[in-house]
Amino acid sequence: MKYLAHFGTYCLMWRNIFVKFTKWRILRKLIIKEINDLIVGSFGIILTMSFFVGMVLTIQMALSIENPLLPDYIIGYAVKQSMILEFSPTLISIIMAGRIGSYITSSIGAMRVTEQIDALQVMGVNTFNYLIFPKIVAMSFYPLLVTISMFVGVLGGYFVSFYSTISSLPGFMQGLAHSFEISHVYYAFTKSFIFAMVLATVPSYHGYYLKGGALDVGKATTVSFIWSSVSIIILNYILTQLMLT
Amino acid sequence: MIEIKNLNKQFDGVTVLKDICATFEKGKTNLVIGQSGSGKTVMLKCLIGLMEAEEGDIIFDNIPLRQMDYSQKFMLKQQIGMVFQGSALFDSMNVEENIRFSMEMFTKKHKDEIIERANQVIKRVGLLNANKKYPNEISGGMKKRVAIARAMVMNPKYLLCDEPNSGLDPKTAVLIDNLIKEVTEEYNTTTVINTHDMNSVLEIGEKIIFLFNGHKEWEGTKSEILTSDNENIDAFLAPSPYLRKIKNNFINKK
Repeated sequence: MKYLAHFGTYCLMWRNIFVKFTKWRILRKLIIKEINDLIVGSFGIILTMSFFVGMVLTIQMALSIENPLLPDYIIGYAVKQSMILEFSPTLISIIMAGRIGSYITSSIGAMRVTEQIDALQVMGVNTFNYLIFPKIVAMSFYPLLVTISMFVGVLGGYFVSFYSTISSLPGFMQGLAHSFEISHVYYAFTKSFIFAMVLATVPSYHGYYLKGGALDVGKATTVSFIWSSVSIIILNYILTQLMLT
Repeated sequence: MIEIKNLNKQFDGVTVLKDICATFEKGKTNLVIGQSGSGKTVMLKCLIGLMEAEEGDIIFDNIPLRQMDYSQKFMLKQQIGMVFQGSALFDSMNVEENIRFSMEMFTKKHKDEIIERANQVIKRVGLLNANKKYPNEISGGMKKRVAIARAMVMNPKYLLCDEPNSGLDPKTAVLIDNLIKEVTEEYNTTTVINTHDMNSVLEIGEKIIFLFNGHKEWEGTKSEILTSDNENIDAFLAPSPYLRKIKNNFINKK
């Protein structure tokens, strides 16, 4: 019953975001700031993680598939598929639930405990729109991060194939070109967009409806990470079932 | 003028406001006093619409809050200036931006006009050379001044202050009290101040309402409060034997 009430409040929050819009002149500044904080600020971690995971995937594939009957291109193909289908959209989103989610929950939660949200409400500002809408707009650029992650992950695999003898470079390149399905890319982008909305709104919900003091900001951040991750995992299954089967 | 009629508020079955009736007059500093937990902040939050009372009416210049439609409520919010206990300044904005915020948000005035008005109120509260400073770079007293300036910038009809001098040294607290009193007279606002600072009561309390355990225990002026024979007021004003002695000496001399 408690979870149902939370879900209902979360849905009402979505509705309230679009009820009364903040002046565009103010909203524009907020959107630019959020793009900078949420998207541009995540480039470093995305590049580092994707590159190293791409390298590790290549090594593990090469070590696992030592059967001479399997073709050479299978390593490149498996790395490409893993990056496009799962690692970049899903695992990166879970990592981002830690980075972006904690930032959103703690920033909104701190505003709640210091009565800044109350001050906005007293002025007549639609706090849902003012605080959450810019984050939603900024996070709609999230699939761009996922695309970069896909490229950098594959680049990591290429790097391993180039500098080590564990996998042949021509085989790896052949695997990248082998059986490329554009529907998989659509699937990955759809997933990442939906995950982006989860990443923008679930942590906002936990920050906005926070009750208590500074200690509770920390607790809310943890709870927000758990719920964002759980939502992403569940939605990942639903979307995979709907789009790939 | 703000009127409160039979205001009742509960939290999880516990009554925190019981049948409160009060009138806050225009151009006066109306003080709501009482111990911590007596219901002062809840009452103020009901006044500004952050909380909704289960029963009773809040009437702003003869229009009950419950009968106002969305646009009337929105207009009312533009006429309310609020000073929060912790100042509630926006961390991401500097002093000038904090003060300009509501004008930028709700008026169509040109940027130069907005800056001019912001500087006018900054000067009025005595905050010169602090325009570009962020809230974490200024003192508690300065934060209160910024909060007052932010509340004043839209020329409010109603000025509500929740413990405006809490956490300040006695000298700064008096300065803030006097500033609120001056602003009230200058702008002819209906000012409601929540406080448990006796200095404020005796300095600026033109009309005083004493809340005790969620109900209105007493109402009067600052000259009447010292001679009141209400036991709860006596306990609030002079909680220690030493203060009681000083109070009694003062009354006897009078």
